[in-house]
Amino acid sequence: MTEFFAEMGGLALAIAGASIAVILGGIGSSVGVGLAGQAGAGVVTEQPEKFGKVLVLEALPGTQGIYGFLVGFLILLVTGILTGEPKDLSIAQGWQLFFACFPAGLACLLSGIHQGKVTAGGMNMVAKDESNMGKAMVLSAMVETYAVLGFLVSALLVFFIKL
Amino acid sequence: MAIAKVKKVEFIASNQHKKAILEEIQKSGVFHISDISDDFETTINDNELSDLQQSELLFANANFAIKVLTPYEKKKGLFPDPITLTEEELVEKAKNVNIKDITKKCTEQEDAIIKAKNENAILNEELKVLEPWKNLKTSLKNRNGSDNYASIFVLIKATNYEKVVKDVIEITNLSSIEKVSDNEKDIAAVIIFDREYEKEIKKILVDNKAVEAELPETDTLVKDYIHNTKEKIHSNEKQIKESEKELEKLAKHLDDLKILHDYLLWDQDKLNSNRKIGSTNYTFAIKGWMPEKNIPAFKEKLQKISNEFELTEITPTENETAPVIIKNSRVTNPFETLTKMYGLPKYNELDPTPYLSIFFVIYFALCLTDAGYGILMFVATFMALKFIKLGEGIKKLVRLLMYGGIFTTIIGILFGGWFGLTAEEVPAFLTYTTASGEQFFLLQQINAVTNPLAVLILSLALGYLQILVGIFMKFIHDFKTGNKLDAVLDTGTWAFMLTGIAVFVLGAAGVLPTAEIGKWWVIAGAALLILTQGRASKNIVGKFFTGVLSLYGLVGYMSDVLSYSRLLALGLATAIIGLAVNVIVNLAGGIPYIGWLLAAIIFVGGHLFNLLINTLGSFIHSGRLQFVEFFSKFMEGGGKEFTPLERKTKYVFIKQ
Repeated sequence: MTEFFAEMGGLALAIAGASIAVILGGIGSSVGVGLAGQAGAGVVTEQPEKFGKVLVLEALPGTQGIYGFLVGFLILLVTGILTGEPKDLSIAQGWQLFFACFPAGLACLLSGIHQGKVTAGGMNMVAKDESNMGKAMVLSAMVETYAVLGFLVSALLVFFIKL
Repeated sequence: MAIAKVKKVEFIASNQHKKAILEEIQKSGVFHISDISDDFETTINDNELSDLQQSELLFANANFAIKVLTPYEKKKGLFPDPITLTEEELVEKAKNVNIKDITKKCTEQEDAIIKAKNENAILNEELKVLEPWKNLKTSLKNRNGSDNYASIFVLIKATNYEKVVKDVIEITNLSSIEKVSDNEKDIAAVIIFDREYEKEIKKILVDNKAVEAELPETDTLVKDYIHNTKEKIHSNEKQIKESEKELEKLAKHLDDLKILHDYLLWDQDKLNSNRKIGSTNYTFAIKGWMPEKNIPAFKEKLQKISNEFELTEITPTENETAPVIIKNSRVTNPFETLTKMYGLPKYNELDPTPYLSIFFVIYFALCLTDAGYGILMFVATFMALKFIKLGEGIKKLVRLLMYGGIFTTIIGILFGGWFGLTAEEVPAFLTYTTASGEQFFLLQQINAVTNPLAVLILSLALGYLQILVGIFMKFIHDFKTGNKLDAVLDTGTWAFMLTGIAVFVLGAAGVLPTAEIGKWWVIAGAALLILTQGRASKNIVGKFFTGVLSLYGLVGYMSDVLSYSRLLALGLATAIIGLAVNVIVNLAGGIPYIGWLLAAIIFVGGHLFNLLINTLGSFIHSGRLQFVEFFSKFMEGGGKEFTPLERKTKYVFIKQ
């Protein structure tokens, strides 16, 4: 096992972490935006004039994917992959970066899906009464809180892990 | 600045002035009419009802005409000037609209278009069916044959054709199959045979999946029939074009229709309010609410119509709550958008609008932290306010965003956010080197990316401050309006405790010279809470434990404060997306020949995307911090909005 990781190197672990953050966040948002979009399409069929509002609501569960992407991007940045001169990371450093990706990745995965469900409900509110838009957005943003916190911890970890 | 004082009033007058008085009430727009129809036998009489039905019919007509004509309207630029009229002009113009005539013409042309389109759909379908038979030499008159022989027009799959021919001849020799046309898939053929064998032949056809063609019975040749059909389609198309031209002509009346629509909207609101009004044979009564300061002027206006009325203030019953109007200065009234988003405060609560305003814009700015974005946002919203005529609600929102733009610029400068660029990437004269050797933009004080902890502390401190403000607001409000002792013991103690904690933390952090004062303050605060919070319990043990348990409330306040850490996270998100865009721009810039173009497109598109998505996020999250963390400290909300009978318009802007 140790041999396997030695062969693999710290950088590969860091890349694995970046991938996980981007993939999990992306799945969360894809499902979330998908759920919201389906509900929104229903609203627009009946009331095409509400397209603008529906589009804004649909975008809300999209941020999780961005948070995941940002953590991935930060890893590319701190490891020097982007500049073309990757740093020589130890296995321990690799693991540290790997685990640093989990708060954002997992929190974004689940919060994205659930924010999508809440937003789909919000679409019904908007379908009934346009002035409910603000309330629908706030309800949806409550779910996003935990993705924000996950991203915050991941970002701080990536910043402060000594390389 | 606050919630306006409203009074419950009762109004009684003679029926003969009812119309004029209602008109005046609607014109002044200061009377919130309550429904008292349950207390009276008659609320709306037959005349009023027929007026209402008449108005509803015209309204439906106007709506129909607007809907039909809107697609035919000539576009007047991206942001056309809305119709702007005074109320008198609107009434005058609305009376001159010949709605019956317009509706009739609209219906005629609309019907003609629908009829022609439907007919063409059928004709086109027929053409498709006839297509394979166009070379048929005979007419279709006796297409089903006679008593002795039968003929069938049939489409046979090309692959099955040989087999069908063989099978048919096997059944009877007295038959013929004539190919009319063939393409790769299907062969159109006429089969003529002795009537006697009809069943068997049809069975062969079914077995080989051949389909009988349904052709029209005509004297003419198929070729001529197709020609006629095409001509019919053509003439229908001409009809559609003509009707559309007519509709385009009619669309010139759209402005008039919209004016009429708004006039009828008033009319219906007014007539519908009859349902809430009680009336007897000679008098009618309205109960409702009016802002205190509008009552004298309103009385004066009514006196011009008649002296025979009675407007008295009455005291509301216990379970009645007054409707809420929030009034704010010109500067803070855009923030009413936020308060209304949450729902209005109760009549006896504080209006949070002025208090949340400054916190909201600072949070909004911290979530964006980019001077470049701030300037863009300010310019865009400023231009929109200046050059585009906007409705009241939208105008407030745009003004709110303009404030956001200004604060984002200031905070962006302090944090050194300029389109996600780093200080190393810009010309040296725009930057300076700090004492610690870091390169900063001019005027920049802190770098959020290398020093996020400082920003985190700032965010939490702002949160603590806002929660403290909230508690003090509740304390002062309760002290002024409610039981003073309860206010001191319930909220005052917490205000004392939380201020103590702030003093202690500031002391421990070295901002204040000593932590000693703070320490004793907190201990005193805790003791006070233990002593006071359990005072409702019956026995001494209960009092003590409830008091001790109340300290658990601190956890709630701390979790509220931690929620403000999102300000750092969202600020970082904006900064890092900006950074990512710039990295991609640099990569794209390296592509030979078209690199600069790609780089420019990605720079503009990427930063616009970042601005949009993060403005949305900043707005929602800054709002949430007000609703969930701030409002909960001093208000319940759920106030009923003051909705007077007034002249509302949908299309027309009313000039004062």
